[in-house]
Amino acid sequence: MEFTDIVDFDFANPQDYGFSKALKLGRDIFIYTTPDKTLKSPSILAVHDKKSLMHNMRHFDLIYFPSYENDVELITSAVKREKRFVVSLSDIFGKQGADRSIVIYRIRRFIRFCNKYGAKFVIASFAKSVYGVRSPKEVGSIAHLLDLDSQQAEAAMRKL
Amino acid sequence: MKSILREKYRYMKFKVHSAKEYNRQDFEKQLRQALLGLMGEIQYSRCLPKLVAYSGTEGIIKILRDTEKETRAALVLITKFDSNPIHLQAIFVSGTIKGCKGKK
Repeated sequence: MEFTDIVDFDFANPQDYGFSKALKLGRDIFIYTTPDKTLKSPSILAVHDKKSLMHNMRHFDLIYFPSYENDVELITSAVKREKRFVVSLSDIFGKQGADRSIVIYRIRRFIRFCNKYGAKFVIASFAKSVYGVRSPKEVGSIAHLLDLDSQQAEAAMRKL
Repeated sequence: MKSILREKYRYMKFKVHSAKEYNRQDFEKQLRQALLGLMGEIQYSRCLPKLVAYSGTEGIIKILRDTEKETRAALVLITKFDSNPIHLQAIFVSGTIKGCKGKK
């Protein structure tokens, strides 16, 4: 099975972690906050604002909604346009204590909504160093926190 | 003690990815604090993790049987010891320490 991750550093040996390849932000995959004339593909739209996200999502391959807010309109619109959401593990690993619990709760609720409305999503680490990378098997072991079974979590890392 | 009353354990081997090297005492202390913080006192009492072997790059923790899933999840969520980034990668679970040794 081939797995892919998105990272924010030069990842020399993704195979050691069970990934067939790692896409580096800014080199192999590009993140934008607004549509750009020189839009490179594959691209991720990362916006906090729901309206802007809905308006611009058609130009991008993946959508990253950092607040993981549940919005039926947004999710159904992504389903209609066949766009996939990105779930970033660095949002979980970058926080500690109660803040981390809140993020886990938000992501769990978001994933539940995605599953309900048939929206697709991918899981990526967005790690800034090798210490932030988790193998697909490890992600499978925290899948129950996100209301997924380990196969679903691993499948979400395969889809990239 | 009758075998039915005897607690059954599992041994979980893990790799340590860290820029800083810890001695066994420091590592055990940090690991205990991190697991306690992540699991909470109630879950911690159910798992009862204990470091039984540590070499700097690998370690083995003893946990109560049927708590492997929770311990594995807690290990995945450990990201820092003090302020130093760390990654503990669970690689193997066995019923004996001997079974863990040699696994990579």
